[in-house]
Amino acid sequence: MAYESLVKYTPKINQQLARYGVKFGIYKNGHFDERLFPFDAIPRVIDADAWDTLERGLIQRVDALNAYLKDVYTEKQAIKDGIIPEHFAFASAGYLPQCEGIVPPKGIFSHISGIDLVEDKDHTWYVLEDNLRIPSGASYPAVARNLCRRCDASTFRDLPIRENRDYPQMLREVMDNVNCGGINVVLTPGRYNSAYFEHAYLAENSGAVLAEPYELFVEDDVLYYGGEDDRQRVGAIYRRTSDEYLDPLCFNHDSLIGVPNLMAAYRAGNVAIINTPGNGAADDKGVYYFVPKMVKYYLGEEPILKNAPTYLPIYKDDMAYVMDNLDKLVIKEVSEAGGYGVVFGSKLSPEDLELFRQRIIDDPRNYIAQEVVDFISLPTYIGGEVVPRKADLRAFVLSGATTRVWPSGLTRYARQAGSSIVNSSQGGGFKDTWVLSR
Amino acid sequence: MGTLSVTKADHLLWLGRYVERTYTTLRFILHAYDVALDDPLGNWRDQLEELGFREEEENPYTFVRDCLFSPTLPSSIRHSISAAYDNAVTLRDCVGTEAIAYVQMAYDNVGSAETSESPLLDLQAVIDDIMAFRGCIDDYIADDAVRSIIKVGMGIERIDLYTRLNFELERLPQEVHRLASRINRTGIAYDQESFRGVVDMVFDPAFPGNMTYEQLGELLKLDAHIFG
Repeated sequence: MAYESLVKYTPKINQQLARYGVKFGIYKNGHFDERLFPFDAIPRVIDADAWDTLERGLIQRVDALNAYLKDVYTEKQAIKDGIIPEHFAFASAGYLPQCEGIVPPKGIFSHISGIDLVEDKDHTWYVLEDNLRIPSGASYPAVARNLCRRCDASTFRDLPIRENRDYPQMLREVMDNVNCGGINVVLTPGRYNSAYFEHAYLAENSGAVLAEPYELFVEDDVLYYGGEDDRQRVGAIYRRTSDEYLDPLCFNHDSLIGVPNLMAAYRAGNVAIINTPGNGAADDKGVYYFVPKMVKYYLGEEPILKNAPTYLPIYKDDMAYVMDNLDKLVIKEVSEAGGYGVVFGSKLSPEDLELFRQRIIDDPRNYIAQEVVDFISLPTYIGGEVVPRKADLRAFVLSGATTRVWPSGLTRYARQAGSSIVNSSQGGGFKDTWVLSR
Repeated sequence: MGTLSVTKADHLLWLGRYVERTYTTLRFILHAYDVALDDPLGNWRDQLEELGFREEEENPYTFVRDCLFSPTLPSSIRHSISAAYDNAVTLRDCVGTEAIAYVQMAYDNVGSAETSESPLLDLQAVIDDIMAFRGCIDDYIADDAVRSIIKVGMGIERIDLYTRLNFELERLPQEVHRLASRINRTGIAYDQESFRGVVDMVFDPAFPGNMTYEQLGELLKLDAHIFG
């Protein structure tokens, strides 16, 4: 197998990742801690044909999601045409009325989209989640690839593995494409954010300035970095802060962070915000249900990628199915992320099952239920042996002058045998994703 | 790099200061430990107290361990390298991952030494990492202002510590000379009068032979006011 020669280097590569500070932060019991993100040198390998299908499907999906975002904040035609129910579109917590009527530079809303997929045992890919706000994780495989290449010349010389270390360059092209005049900035909430390493790494390698909110200010609807005496205009801001902490004058009035009047500069067309505020209107777990319909509606095409079979309890038939099959389904809270709020019915006690049944009846809009996709396990080197572990894939789609898929992705694996929880915050590790060119 | 925000300049200055504080304090503690083995009642304890280490511990080895690894003493090596690390990670875009890796390694190696059976031997790796960081700055950082701020931070801290500890004072003219060649390249404002005062004191032909405790205190004050 292609990976065999790399397995033995796993500990050394992890040492090097520690040397470079490749970490993520986590809050536990009110305490901030930095953890290494365990790396497994056995990659996920995607052959050229499978990638071709995935790539076309991902571009199609993200193009449809961008079209929906433009529509939901302007014409609302899909809602008028009954494609997406009004109460779903506007009741989504990610829908921001403050963004009504704003069309961002070049009409792009989701510049960096992280689409979470799993591959089932018959090699069908299912989309589990769309992340259109601030998806993270692209830096890790890019850093790891560099180290893996140092371990084994023949593998990387002989196999047609597509380059993935150019992600920061692709990001830069996305920023340059919508830049309204000025420097590019990566806006981070700060040192104690869980993805701070990535913020700093991407700034360094894309040539952008890493800035915290208080290093930016708005004057006459123009965003600047620096101080009164020495400042530079900002043309594009790759923000890695949540919508509600972007601008305290527009969103969360109680917030002490954020850049006052940033939204005014954005509304005036003087700065591009990547990704656009309000994108949560399209990556809500409930709106996810409608994405295949969006593909048909906006693009006039059949969806290439499938959703995991999903039920919305707000619909009578779906509610009946969910109630009858709760013990076999995955229940997800619409408002949660990061693997939280995900419950497998099969693992609930009879009492908890009844508790969830009642919660769903009480607040059907806050839940979706999905069939359990029995996704494949990948060989993973843990504890000195190669063992199977469930793994997903976060693919990154970059929307710039064209929509492109980064030919790699973050493959996350579960640490525990049999577990499907792959999130780093819950102990998961990561792999490189090799996309073969032939 | 172009414009540096005030925050970033501040992080750069303090990165330099804390790296230097780790390095010089570590060297001094190793020196003090060695002296203490032969002279348990010597001046070394007073000198460490100048750094804020006020321990009742009589055993030099235990006392020195606290100076090195105490999480609560702000002058401990552990505290200094943690502060250096906290500043370094915010500067990846202007200092670079390759250079920051040496601060990361120094930080990790302090942690390893703390749990080692031979911490004083293992801390050599921390000195090596810091020297590598100092050396790589010229190679990895293209922006002269960024380089200069880090180096000025190191210089200010070294003058402070040498003065505070009454340690290798004869090296101060060389340190001040280095500082003079850098300080105007930082692009940040400083108190020129205080700096001139430092220059006058250390380039006095009689320096350091006749320095009184009060004069050293004055030198410390002037040094602190340069960027105060």
